[in-house]
Amino acid sequence: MAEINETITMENWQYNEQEIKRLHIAMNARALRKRRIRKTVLITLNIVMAVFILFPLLYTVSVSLMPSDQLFTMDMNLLPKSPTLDNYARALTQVPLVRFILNSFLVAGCITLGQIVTCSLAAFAFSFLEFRGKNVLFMLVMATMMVPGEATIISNYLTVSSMGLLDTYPVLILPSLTSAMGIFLFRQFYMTFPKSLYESAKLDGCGNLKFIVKILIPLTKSAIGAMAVYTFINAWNMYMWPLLVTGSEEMRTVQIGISMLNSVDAQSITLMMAGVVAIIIPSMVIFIVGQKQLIRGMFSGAVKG
Amino acid sequence: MSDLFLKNVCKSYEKKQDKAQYAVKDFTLKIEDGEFVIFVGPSGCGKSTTLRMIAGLEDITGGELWIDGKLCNYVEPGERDLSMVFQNYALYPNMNVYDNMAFSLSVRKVPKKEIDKKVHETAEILGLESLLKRRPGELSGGQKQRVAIGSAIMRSPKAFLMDEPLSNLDAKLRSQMRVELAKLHESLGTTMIYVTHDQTEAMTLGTKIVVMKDGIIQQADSPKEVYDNPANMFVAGFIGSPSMNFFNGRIRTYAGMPVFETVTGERLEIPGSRGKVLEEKYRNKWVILGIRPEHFLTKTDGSGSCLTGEITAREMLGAESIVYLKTAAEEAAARVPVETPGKPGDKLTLSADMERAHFFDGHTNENIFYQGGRQ
Ligand SMILES: Nc1ncnc2c1ncn2[C@@H]1O[C@H](COP(=O)(O)OP(=O)(O)OP(=O)(O)O)[C@@H](O)[C@H]1O
Ligand SMILES: [Mg+2]
Repeated sequence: MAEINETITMENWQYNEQEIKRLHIAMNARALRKRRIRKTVLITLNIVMAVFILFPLLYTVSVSLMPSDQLFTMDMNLLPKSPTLDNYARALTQVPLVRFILNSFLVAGCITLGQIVTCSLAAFAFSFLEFRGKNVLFMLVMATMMVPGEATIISNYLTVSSMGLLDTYPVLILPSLTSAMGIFLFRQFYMTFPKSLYESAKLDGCGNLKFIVKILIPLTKSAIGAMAVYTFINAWNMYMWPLLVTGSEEMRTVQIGISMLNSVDAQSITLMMAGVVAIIIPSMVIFIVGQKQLIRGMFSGAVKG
Repeated sequence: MSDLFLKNVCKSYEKKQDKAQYAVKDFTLKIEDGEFVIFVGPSGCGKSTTLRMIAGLEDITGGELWIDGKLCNYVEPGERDLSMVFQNYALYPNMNVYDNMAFSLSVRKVPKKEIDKKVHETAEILGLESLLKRRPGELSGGQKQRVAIGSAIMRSPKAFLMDEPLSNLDAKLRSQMRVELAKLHESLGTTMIYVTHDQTEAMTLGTKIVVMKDGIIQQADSPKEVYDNPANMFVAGFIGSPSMNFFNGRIRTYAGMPVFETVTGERLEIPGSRGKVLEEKYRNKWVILGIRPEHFLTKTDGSGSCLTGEITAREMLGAESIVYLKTAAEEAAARVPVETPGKPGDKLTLSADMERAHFFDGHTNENIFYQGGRQ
């Protein structure tokens, strides 16, 4: 390519129209090729990394498709030789997996909704309103984060059992309806929110609730989205609490249901993997949907005046 | 439209009353209907605080705020019927220009048709019709500012409060917006209270200028009065650009005439009755002489009020120049015609227009000849 550069010499500021056009094309092609090479390298690297990181997950999917006898061999068998959906069919019939999934959806959904409402309102008070003892109260909320969940689980259990709530949906949902972490996250986000917008709304005669609905929520969509995804996945993955407070099969959530698959048929790793894959799908869907929401949220925040 | 009356308004951000430090102290001001009041002062002197107290965004620590004869200390900001333009515009980024302007009315449940009419009227006044569908993020600074002003005038409030609304704009746009604001005030006739530390804005826009320092009003008067008849040295030095030249010295009698003698012995004759008064009251006492740069004359007809100094710098402003002189006593700036000869290093003799000079008490820094305080 180098010779192209030298074919043109600008003598007396005169040059050939065609030559310059040729030069443009050549240079353009070179830049394009450079860009393509860089892109290919990047994509290849990304794919390699992705495969590496996702390997356990991919292997799970692969195992879930194997007939159970194929798993226990000395050969290297990363991929099923005769893929079958048998495991899935058995996982769905052996335990009421669909019911578990629905339970988990209901519980996680309610928790997510509840946390967003309570946390955002509390965070609003902590960042926009002025009241006596605000900082002390906030410290108190933060202090609860330092108490490990295991420390309170017994007393929580005693509380809900004395309320006669054991083995119901409310018992799964109620204790997680708010979280210090969520309040903290929202508050941090609101702190960066221009205070003058709030003041301006106040002068416009707009009350607090209206301000939240009309201005704060539309502008903090990204925070809400992030919070929703985070909370939903956490709630979906709850284990100890549901195990403790639910007894009947109809109230079980998926995480516990999966371990039931194991105890029913101790040998069936493939069956369990099929169950695991089945329950990963909903949280992946939530994540993908939420991620889109996240990106949109970020765009709407980008037009800050 | 209305008049405001602030009586001994104080503000302290300290929670404890005992070691109270006041951001604003004993602020007493009467604002008539339709006035354009400007708060000026150095940074941190309490201009914004005062404005925010009027708006209701800060509690009033002491004193009273009367709007239209109603005590408003404890009235919610939304119910005071004032509107405010913030320095950083405070437009709602999630709404387009139309909705931003309509917001304050739609909150008040004004019928849609009426709002629509009003928005289009206002947009026409401010030249915003073509931008109604845009979001604030897609506007330039000046356009945002106009939208902010538009949102403020939408609901015809009792008064506009503006906190340095033009300070984010470049010089050209600022002067353009200044003219528009003046026009707007003329056509709407609404009371405006405007915070700035730009002198030009203060002098050109205001019908009343309130000069503040450390939370205390130094002088509140018309621009002309503040300029011609400053209450004290602070006001004299703060208003005017370049600022007034000050010389320390004493009043003496020399050859039968009252003169001002600088510390280095230059003498400037004080003509007329003011000389007599000074001679009587301040003979041999310290006073401070203040002369504005524009009150130096280049023709030196041998009168007894000449100052000679070496030019240290010279600025061309187009029609005139500003020369900085190092006289024996002090540095001085003078506004002279461009033709005046002299470059840095040269000597230049100027005569001071002593009729228009100001004299300040050496101890209190008050203007000795200050008349009035009209308020
Ligand atoms: N929220 C606050 N808490 C404590 N002190 C404050 C607060 N807001 C302002 N002050 C203090 O009050 C004084 C007046 O502040 P104010 O904002 O009114 O100044 P300003 O005249 O508007 O200055 P500027 O021209 O820089 O905007 C300052 O000394 C400032 O430090
Ligand atoms: Mg300010």
